[in-house]
Amino acid sequence: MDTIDALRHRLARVDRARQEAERYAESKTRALYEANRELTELKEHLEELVASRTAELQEARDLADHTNATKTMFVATLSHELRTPLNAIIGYGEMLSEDLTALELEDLAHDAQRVLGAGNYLILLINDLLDLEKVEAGELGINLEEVALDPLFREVSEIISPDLAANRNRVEIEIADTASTVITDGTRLRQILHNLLSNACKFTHDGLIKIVALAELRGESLYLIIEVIDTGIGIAPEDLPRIFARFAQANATISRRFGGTGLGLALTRRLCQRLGGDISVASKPGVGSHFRFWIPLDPPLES
Amino acid sequence: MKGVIFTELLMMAESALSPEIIEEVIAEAALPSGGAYTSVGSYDFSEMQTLVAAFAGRLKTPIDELTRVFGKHLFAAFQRSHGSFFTNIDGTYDLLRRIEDEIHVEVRKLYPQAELPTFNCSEPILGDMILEYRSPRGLAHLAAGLIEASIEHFDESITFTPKDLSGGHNTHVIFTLHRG
Repeated sequence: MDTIDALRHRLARVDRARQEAERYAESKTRALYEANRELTELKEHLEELVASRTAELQEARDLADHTNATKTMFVATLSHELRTPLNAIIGYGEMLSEDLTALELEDLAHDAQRVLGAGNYLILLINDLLDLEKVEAGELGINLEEVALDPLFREVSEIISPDLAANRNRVEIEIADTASTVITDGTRLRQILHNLLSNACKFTHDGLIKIVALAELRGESLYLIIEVIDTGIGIAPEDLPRIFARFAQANATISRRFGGTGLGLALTRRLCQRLGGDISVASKPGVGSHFRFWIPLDPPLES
Repeated sequence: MKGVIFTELLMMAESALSPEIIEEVIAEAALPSGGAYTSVGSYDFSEMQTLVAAFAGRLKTPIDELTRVFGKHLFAAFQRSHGSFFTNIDGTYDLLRRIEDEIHVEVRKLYPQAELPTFNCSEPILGDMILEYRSPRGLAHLAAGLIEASIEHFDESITFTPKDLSGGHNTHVIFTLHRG
């Protein structure tokens, strides 16, 4: 083959290759165009789907919010309405009990005491329920003040001293120098500690309840850590995850044996959270429980 | 077989033979495609066999040797056209290990119809690696050329010996690589 023939042959070959490449490019361009059109349709369909689902979710959320607000209002109103007659029952129960004791009618006085006990229990339950509803509705105000921990701890221990004596428990208080005075809501701190100490006392016999307070730096923030450690019956591992839920006493037997509303720890947790912190628990059956809560100190929570 | 292999074969031939001879070879081969290859098309493997045999004859080189040289040429061509496959690769052993799990996975995405050889690798033990090549096309010499080019590219002192387990058909070959 001479050069001219070779070049002619090559030209023809290259020309056919070019035509083939053009057909290929054309078919791919069409395929891409179709794919792009399908994607656009799919995207529009997805956008519609997302918009419709978002609307459904918003509606469901609005309904849930409304239901929750109605429930909160209902509980608050009902609790107020219950408290008035209950206060009368307790007041008259006390008078009746004293009168019957004075008349030396011991059996009847004992019955009157039981009415009084039930009334006091109901007041506690209603107060806890009201506080819980207030926290959840974001209506629980916080009053920041300078709080000295040692007097506060002693005051709470004094309040529960009858329970301590009944179960022959001892209390030890340990406060680090760095945590002797803190800025927080004293009333709520007292309430948290009272709940934890009452619980510890209820589930501990002939034992020790230790209250420890210290300041700890976490990241760049300073926290007050308070621990309530008891040598009581402890909590079974399977009950630990729901211990801070409402009405989540470990089991019905405990509720009957030790009393309590099942709201105490739920409220305690909400209060810790309201103060900007939280609470955790570690426990071993037969050894004891270790509650630990923390609230930020620096900067203190806004009132 | 992908058109890029054919266009690269012709490019390699151009460097050794005159246009007159190349066109003569193509004309004499009476190929179904007429030798009008595009890199994006697909052509029958038999055309490749015909062309390699014809070029080997003209160059007075054994077919296996020309196939091996073509493997080396293809390595350089792949580097030019698919440079991303070669980034962050730490030598020949690393490259060979990635052929099945990464490179062929990507090639199948680009060309779902591609019929690829399989390369099974052992873990390197005391500097040795076993590579098992399988392909009904029997292009083990082309694989050898690719390995050789990779060793040169990464400037490594690796030697290798092939052992054909397919009775001379080059469809199932074990390469034993040794790092010196």
